[in-house]
Amino acid sequence: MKCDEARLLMLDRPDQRRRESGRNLARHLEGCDACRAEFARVQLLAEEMSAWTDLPVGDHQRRACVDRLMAEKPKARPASSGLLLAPRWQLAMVAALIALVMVVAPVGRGIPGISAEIGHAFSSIEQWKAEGTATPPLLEGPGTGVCNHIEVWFAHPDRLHVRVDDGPAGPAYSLTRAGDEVTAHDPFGLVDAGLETEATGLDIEALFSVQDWLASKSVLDAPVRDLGLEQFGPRTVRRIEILPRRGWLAQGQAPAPILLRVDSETMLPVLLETTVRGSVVVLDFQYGVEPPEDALLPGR
Amino acid sequence: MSHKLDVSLARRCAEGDQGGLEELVDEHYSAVLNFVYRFSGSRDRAQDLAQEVFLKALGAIGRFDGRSSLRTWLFTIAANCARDSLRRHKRQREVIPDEGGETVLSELPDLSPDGAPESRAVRSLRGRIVRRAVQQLPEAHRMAVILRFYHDQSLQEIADICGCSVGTVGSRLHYAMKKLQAIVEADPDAREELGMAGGGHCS
Repeated sequence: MKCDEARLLMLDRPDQRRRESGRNLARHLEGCDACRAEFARVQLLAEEMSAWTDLPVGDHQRRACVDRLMAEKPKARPASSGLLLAPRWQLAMVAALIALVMVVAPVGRGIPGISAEIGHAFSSIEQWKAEGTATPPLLEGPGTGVCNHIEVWFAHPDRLHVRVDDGPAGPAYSLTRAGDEVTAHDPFGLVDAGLETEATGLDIEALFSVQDWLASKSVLDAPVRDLGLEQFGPRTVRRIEILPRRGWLAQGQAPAPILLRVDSETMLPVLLETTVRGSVVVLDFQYGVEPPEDALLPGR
Repeated sequence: MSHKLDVSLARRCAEGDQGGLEELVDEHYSAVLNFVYRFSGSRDRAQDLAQEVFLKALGAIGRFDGRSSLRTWLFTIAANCARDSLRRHKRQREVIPDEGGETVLSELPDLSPDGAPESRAVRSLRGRIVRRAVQQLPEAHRMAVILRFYHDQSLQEIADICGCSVGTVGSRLHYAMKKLQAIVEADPDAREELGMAGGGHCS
């Protein structure tokens, strides 16, 4: 057993370890000082954390919750099909599917293996509900007060949505990209306030089905950059360049690209960079992935 | 509770059966409340969030298919609600202070198991310091730590909840532990408190 495997195994709940892997872990720990120390740390941490007691829950709280649910009951969907969506989503889904079929079909014919991926993506769409949002912190720019506030979300199965905002009072830009396009060129994304409004009003319950779709199609052609070997295996990111259309930016500004790196495995945003408004690199640590060292600008 | 039973309960809830809803709440309300509480760091917000989670769950429960347990499914919704809430309330790093300037963490009673008073005190103190440090972790790390160490979810279940691979969960936990250690070591109050309480090195 390698150290990586051992460390993953020791983090898991003991009942998840098969007898054999448990024995292998024990054998590994006997011979590996570093993993033994790590195991001790895990156990100590678990012990220290287990002392965080639960908030007490009274009957009145449960009662209030049930009452609220009963009051909302008519809004609940009947238990039958996973395909039941609100009418606007049914329409949106049908439109998205038609658009996808039209765009994807001619592309797919020429690329071996892509049909299978499309099939997989379509089966994911069945569960699709909405989108996810990653909001990096609003950072201070060098001598300029604030820099960009950038949000990235997946508004539709075939679209990556990016909003750039110069600050609380600044203008917002929306870039909507068709998912089948190569994302490194062509600044013809459309500002679509309707989509944006719709997207922000939704929850992100089924975010990862959307990401399956994006992983299989949208960023298929984006170059992959290896971030090196991490503790539990290699992590790669996909680097997506989005070029805002000239005119969306403040006067005199070049249409600076927004560079988005997403984890190639989870498709979660890892890192956002832009020089719009002369800002520093905007990092999104919300998903816990360390940025590549060369992404950090001097002075930060 | 097996997933089959979970599906049956979900069906009853979707049909608006009051007994089913009561069972759902009895079974899972406490876990959901405490999960969002630990993640958000705010007791008041946790109450609202727990309600929100159950309301959203009710709206979607017809689509619950038993591929995961109902608990894991609810945690998935709770995770999304909690993340959204944090974003609504700006940055999670501002979270810790609660009403009256006290931290919510320090209000909590010590539930350490029996033992000598001194060791219990030290353990309690360490636990409190670590919990304070947990609140300073990045969102994804915090969520993994809370689900694994407070709610005893397996790596696979956490992966389902967070929508990532088991390897990613392991990676997050690994980094979280490193960061916790760094946070605690960099915290002069923690060093002083632990030194006064008998020394020691947290995690």
